[in-house]
Amino acid sequence: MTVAPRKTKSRWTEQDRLREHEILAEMDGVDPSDPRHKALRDELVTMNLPLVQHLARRFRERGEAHEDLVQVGTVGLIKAVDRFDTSRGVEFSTYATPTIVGEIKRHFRDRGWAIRVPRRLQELRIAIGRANAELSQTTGHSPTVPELAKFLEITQDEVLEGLESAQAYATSSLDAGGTTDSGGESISLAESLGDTDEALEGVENRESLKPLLEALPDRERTILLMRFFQNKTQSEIAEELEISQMHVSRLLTRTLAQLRTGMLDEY
Amino acid sequence: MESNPGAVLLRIPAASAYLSLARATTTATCARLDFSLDQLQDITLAVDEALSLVLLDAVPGSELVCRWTPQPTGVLIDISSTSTSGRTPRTTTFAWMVLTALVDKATANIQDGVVTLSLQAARAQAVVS
Repeated sequence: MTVAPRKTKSRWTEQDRLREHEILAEMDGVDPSDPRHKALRDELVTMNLPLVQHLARRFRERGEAHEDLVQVGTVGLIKAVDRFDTSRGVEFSTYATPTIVGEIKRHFRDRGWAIRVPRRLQELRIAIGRANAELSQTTGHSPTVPELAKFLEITQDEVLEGLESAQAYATSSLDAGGTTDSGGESISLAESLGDTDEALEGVENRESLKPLLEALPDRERTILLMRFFQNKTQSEIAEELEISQMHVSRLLTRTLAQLRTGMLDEY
Repeated sequence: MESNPGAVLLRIPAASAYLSLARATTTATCARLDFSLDQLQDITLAVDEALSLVLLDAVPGSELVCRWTPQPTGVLIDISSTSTSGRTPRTTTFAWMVLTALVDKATANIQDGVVTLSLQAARAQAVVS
């Protein structure tokens, strides 16, 4: 296993390396129940997040959102921090890399999505995404499947096939444009949680729903609120958040499925 | 059931593994009825929601019956199965709120122990060609 280049030189300096050694050495002498241990552990995790980002990027175009891979990779990183033994005499990154990659691979296995999307479907999906944006812009309304088929000079069945593959495998290309968000969300976290309270007035299972909504990533929650509580269309949401409409659709599908699972008992 | 020349009927076991069939049929059927992508995906989400509501109360081992009926203005989708509780789903849940936000009209009926959710969606606008 090759050692991952831990980020470009500009990000990982000799100073970082020394600091990492210091942290590891100090952690060795601190009892895990000591608050100091947690502070050191947090610092070590934070400074190694770029490594997770880097490793997650290796799995781009495999049908999972980059942020999801970073999330599972971070779980691997934390495991590595907790298991690392300084007496082994290896660099932390050498030890952490297989653990992080292992966690990401396991995520793919769990999802059954380790397969690559056939190139033809990838191209089809991208073409439909572009045509969707272009037709929405020129006609001022979301296009129909026959309109898309005519525009792309393909059959309606092919359009449907492309739409289905977009639902099943969102490659990182669908995330393009949405990667710079988190800072630019149009609804702040506090604001959106306030909206949630108001919007859920009269919903009988709101008590079990609230923690589930609060646990959603900001963007997923924002999209849900915009669609169901502000009555915006998927196209309007896509435009506002600068992501594709197909991506909005996929995120909504996934979020609703998660909420359903989480509230199973309440139905 | 009265016959309708354009109607599509699907009977599947009441088990989550089969729901994707109803989902795919929804997309394929409604795409041919000139719904926009926005609406098409909303209708599919609504069907997901309705299927899970019906499935949760379905008698184990029973069937889900799904019917898509084209209408002059849009589509009517009926999803039914034999109910365990003998009641229609409550309309004050988040699931119901989602359902009604996604389609123009959602209703629930029960007859002889069979619960039916009916979803009605109208095309947003006449497509100017």
